[in-house]
Amino acid sequence: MSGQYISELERHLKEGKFVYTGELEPEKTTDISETIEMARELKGYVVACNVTDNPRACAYISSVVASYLIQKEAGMEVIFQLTCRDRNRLALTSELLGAYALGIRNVLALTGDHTTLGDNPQAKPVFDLDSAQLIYMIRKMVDEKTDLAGNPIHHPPKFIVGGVANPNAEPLEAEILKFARKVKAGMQFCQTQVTFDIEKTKAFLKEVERFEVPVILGIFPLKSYGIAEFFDKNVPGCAVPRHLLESLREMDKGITDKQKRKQKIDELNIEFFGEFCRELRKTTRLAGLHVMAVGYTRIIPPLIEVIGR
Amino acid sequence: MIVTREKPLDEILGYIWPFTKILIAGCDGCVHPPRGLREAKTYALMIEMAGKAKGKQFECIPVTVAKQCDNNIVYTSLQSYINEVDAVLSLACGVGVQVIVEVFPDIPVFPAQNTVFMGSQPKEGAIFYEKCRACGECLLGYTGGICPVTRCAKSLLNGPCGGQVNGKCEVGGWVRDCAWYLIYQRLKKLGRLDLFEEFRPPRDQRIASSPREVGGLVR
Amino acid sequence: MGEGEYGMRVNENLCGGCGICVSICPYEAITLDEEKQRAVLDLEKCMFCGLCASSCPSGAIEVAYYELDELCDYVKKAVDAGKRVLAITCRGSTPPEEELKRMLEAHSINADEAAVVTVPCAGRVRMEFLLKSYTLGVEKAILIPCEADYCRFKRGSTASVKRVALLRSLLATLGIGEDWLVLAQSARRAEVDAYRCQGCGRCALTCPYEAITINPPGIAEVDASKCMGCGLCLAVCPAFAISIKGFEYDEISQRIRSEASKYVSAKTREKPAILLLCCQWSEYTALDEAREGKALDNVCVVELPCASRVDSLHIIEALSLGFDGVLVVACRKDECKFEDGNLKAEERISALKEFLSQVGLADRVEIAFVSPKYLSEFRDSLSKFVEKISSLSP
Repeated sequence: MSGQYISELERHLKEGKFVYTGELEPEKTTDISETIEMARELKGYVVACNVTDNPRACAYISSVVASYLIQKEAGMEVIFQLTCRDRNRLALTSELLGAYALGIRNVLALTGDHTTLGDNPQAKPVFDLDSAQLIYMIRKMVDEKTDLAGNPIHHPPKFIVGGVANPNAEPLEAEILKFARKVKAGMQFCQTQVTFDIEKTKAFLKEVERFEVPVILGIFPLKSYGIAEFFDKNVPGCAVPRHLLESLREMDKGITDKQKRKQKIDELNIEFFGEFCRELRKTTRLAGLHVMAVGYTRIIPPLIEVIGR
Repeated sequence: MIVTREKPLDEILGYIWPFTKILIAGCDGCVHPPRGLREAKTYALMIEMAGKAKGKQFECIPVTVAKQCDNNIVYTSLQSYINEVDAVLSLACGVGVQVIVEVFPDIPVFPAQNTVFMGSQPKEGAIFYEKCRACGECLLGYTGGICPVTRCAKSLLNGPCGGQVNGKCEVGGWVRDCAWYLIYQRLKKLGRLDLFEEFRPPRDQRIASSPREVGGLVR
Repeated sequence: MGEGEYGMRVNENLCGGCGICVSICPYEAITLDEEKQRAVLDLEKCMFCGLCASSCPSGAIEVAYYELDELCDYVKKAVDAGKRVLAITCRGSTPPEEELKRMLEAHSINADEAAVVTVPCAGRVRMEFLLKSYTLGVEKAILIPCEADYCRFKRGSTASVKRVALLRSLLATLGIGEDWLVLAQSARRAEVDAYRCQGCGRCALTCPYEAITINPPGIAEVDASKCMGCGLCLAVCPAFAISIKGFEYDEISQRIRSEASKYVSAKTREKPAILLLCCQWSEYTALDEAREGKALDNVCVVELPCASRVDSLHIIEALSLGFDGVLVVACRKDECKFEDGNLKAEERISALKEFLSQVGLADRVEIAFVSPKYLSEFRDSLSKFVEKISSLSP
């Protein structure tokens, strides 16, 4: 890749360039050509794409395989998501070794949603490790060149390890202390939960500044009123601002011309998130944006244009 | 206490169907809700009635044992009955059933309960809550006396996870308290958030791997 | 009386509006109509203790039970039969026969000579009745209300104690001698058999009065000053280690067993055998008759201190002995004399029904909520239950 850096993501973060990352969600299928197509569309706009690992505890195609295919077919660098729900430390270790062998360099360590919330709720949840411990284990593999138990690894891997945080979390203090723990464990970058609340986000970013870990903030452009309403109702602790919901509802009802409606909704998103992100870039040390726009990739280019590189 | 739930009567009848004289052994030990003499008598009558309805005449002897997990007590409490009966139905936890098997290896012994967990019942209601998982490596000293291994759905040592909102846990639909939220509140109150901030490395799961053995008290 | 469904009414022609009833009612169920100068009774609030009736100077409050004439008749017959001592006890604290005998003997009364009148509250006995008893030839009277803190109607026993003092001085003035009337007090409280107690703490957990503690090394202890004798602890004790005189597990169990042969063997197919487990405050007549040995039609009546004493095991025993149905009779929802004992009984019965559904007997157990102040309520509930049981295949 790029000289002293092991990935483009790392290079961007280290050089202080504002980073955009995207999200790809492989599904319950053996053919991920659609996902690869989406990755192609994002190319040139985002530095890397997260590839989810059985999100919402649903059994999908292996995250490491999808990651490999996306990098190979679309040429899109991935942030390989890895959860602790489905694998004990042995499986996690071998997954990571395999991932590295397949050219994967960025890892996002997650605890994972509980099995009971997924599509196989009868399953036994593993959680041998939690996300902080997974970060710790990966750093041990990279820095000490051993597995968790201390056994040496021949040809040890090199990864950039990220963790997640939630700017909406209450109480914020607990979230910050948790952040501190992950930093102690070795977290090198952080991607956050989606947020719409500028004040909470500012407060969060201010609090974590002292750790000097780059934070990539999650945003969620709203493609339609339906999606916005669903998100608002089903993601507790993360409300969609009323005025956004209202405007979307009016557009949904009021504008019959499909093309025109799309245009108006795009404008609304660009206006809201443009302002939201510019304000954050002005007032905080935000390192980048993670744009969750699965099925709404067309919004990314104009959005990047208003927010700036 | 060890919390148990009663098995469906049909399952119990299935176990004892080939037998006629049944010793119903209650336990006055830590099993909860209590399964002492009252429960033994209750089961005796229920089994006899159910048997009658299906055309079988059971003969049940209800007794109780101070502690079914104690080989000695089991021997002295049950030995006078054991030759009189064809099978034993134990109302104790899984330990009790196995101790009777160990003490009286020649007689079939069946469980009447499903042993569910170690827990307690607050004054207010009849619900038992799981409190301890016997993980073998007690963390309560670091977590303000609230067990994350048992009370966090994911047994996280570095919680809470993203499934916590307003102090409630996503698992089960935002009803249960998030253990880590409770831990945070408690440690904050105690002025010990330094403990909360500490990173807890992965556990040695061997300590909690069954079967486990522990030496007796020799002091 | 006897007409209409209420068991109590104010006779407006007799009421002088003095307001004594208003001030004595422990439940604030009586108000004074300022305009008419008449007492007005709120039957929803009324707990039917009868304190108002017994303190009304003009006899304007009429109660359907324990009327003066009826009681006098009883005394007359007793005197004729040679029972010249009148003992008035309260339903809540009347000890079992042997215990009562000892109690009377302590006051130098030969139990064989005593005519016992048990009323739901000693406070409802009019002084007039005692004086009439004297004229009818009663040679000595003993009033045994509950201990003051044990009274089911808050002020019943306090009122009784005061009345006895008053009456005694009156008797002295009349030259009859105050010793004609003596006072004793009684209470039936929970007692622990330390040998049987396993220290599980269930009683302490469920006692509504926090009267039970578990002492080291794990034995329950009842604080008599707090225990109200509802019997809830007896029903939950897994080891039968708690008793209240007359309501012990064994006592009731033996009663059901011995009666079973009578009712079950005598039953014809048209008449189901019914066991009635009845709170002593929810129904008066049927319980009094049962005390006197008069049986309802193929219905075995067992009196409980409170519906919360109802024991699942007694019900299971009754069904296994061949009773066709068990009806638990509890007080109406707001009228429990304890702490929601009726609701606790309801909870227990619904859990029991679920348990019994495994042997197909859930339909044979019901709980009814009735009040003696609605005269036909108990009989209606009973006949409805009998009807239901009759409709089930045996």
